[in-house]
Amino acid sequence: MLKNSFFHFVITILSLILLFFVLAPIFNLVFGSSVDILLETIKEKEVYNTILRTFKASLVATLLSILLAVPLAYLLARFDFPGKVLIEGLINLPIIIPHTAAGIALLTVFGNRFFLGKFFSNFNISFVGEFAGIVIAMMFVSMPFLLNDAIEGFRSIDIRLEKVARSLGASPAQTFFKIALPLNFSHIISGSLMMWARGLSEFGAVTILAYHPMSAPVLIYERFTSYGLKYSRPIAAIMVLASLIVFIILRLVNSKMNSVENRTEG
Amino acid sequence: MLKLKNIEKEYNDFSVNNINLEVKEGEYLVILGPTGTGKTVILEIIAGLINSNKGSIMYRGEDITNYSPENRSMAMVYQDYMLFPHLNVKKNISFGLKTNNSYKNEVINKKVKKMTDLFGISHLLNRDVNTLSGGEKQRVALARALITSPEVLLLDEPLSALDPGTAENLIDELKKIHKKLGTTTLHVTHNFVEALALADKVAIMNNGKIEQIGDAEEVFQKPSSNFVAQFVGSKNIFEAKRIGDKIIIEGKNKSLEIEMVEKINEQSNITIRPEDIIISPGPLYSSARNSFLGKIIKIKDRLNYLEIIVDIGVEFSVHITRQSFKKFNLEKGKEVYISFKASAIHSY
Repeated sequence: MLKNSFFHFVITILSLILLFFVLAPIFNLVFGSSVDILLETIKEKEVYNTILRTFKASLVATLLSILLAVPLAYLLARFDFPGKVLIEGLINLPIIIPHTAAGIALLTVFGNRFFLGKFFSNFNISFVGEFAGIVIAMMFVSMPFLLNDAIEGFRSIDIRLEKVARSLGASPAQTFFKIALPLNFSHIISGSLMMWARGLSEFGAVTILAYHPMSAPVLIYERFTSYGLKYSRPIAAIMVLASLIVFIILRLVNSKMNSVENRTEG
Repeated sequence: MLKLKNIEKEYNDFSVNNINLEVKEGEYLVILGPTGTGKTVILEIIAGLINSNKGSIMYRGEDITNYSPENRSMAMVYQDYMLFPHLNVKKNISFGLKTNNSYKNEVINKKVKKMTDLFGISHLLNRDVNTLSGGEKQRVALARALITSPEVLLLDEPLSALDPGTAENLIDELKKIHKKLGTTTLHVTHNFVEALALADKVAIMNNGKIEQIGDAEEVFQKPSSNFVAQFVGSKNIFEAKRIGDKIIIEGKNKSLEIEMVEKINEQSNITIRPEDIIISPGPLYSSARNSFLGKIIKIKDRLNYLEIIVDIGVEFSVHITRQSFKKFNLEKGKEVYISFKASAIHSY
């Protein structure tokens, strides 16, 4: 028993050190600036527009990803095909590689002189130094969060529910839209929120593709390098607060969905 | 008629081999076998939910092996109901009709009413399926399958998750509904009481193979292999030899001469159902032509009856009612006579 309590003591201390390490800087950042300064900063047109642009870009990236990642997730969760394991490994690549490298990789495809860049220029869409560049940079690096959640969600649905639907006359598409998709709704929503939140904070890939128009992390970086800590801190605080709000909403939605799911299982 | 020809399937770590099966229109066929012998796989192959590696499925003379499930009209019902958790009872039941866009709402409502009346679940229509009892859930699942007027109804252990009382009620209902609708039905189970109660025909499966197929009565009385004999509860399984006119069972230190009606080869397996054997404290003067003296070596309580193991040179299992057990004052070590008719012996 003595051994056991000593063990508890040790893991508690280690846990507290980690929590302190994570929370102290964030706490200091958020509560270190006075409310007046925060309000003043957010009233600044450049700051306000930048934050709005960042939220918008991440939202567009997330919506595009839902359209593309949900089908891929279903494919990976439900079907066997050659190369499946390889794809499952590759989809996490954007999380692992340096995000500046991701930006450069994107540039070699979406840059004005490269094939997708050329293709989209036909529709008057260009990426370098444009809003669309922010969107694809965010999408590239944060899409795996949505994809992984969606895969997990589809895998957690008993496949026999879909088999019953097929045997009752539902086509594969009807089975997907009437059974699989609604039952995976909570995972897709929580994955999307996570992706959106992660997209907001993307710096590396975004700076390479579109330093201008500015997104919030780029603005924070620019203020810091040009004017120093004092001027970058309030914007950083506002972004953290905004992310925090998203995070709290995410947890609330998630726990509500989970309680629905638990009821479903019981 | 539904016909399976040489169906083979490798599936994870087991396989079904060379399955040949015929189900006549309107027939109720029960596939009976221990769990994990590939019974579910056969149903899913028939429904088109998994593909077989070999073989073909014919329905009314048409090869449907490559038809996709939605074009087969073979509705599946699983053991654990598989009700769609995000839809209420009514939407679950009407699901199959709604996939076919040609039905008008009034028609759907009428059909739902008819089907739910049949199962006595009309009062549940607006309920959340997650709040239903097991018996209610399975009735909803059956109604959901039958409302599509399937060509074949496929039932995968439909009563195994239910408590015994509810299962018994559902057996009666299934019987009644099968009589009324006449839907060709394949029912998979490991429970032979269920099979006996419902089946027109029984197929016994073991290790991915069909061991015997026939009328329910016939399979129970005349098993064609040791496995089937054991599985249908016929415990007294012996090797018998024919020497001249005599039929002999070799025991440990004694051999028994028996009389039987069926003709057997020089060497054959025979079985006698435990309930066809009479136990008595003294010799029995009756039409039973086989009578032996032995000693009780074990008594097992089986709830509805007692199983007595009697050693007469070989060990025999005998079923006896509680009443007779008390009347005869039976106990371990006591000497008793066992008797059975020559016609009660089945050879294979």
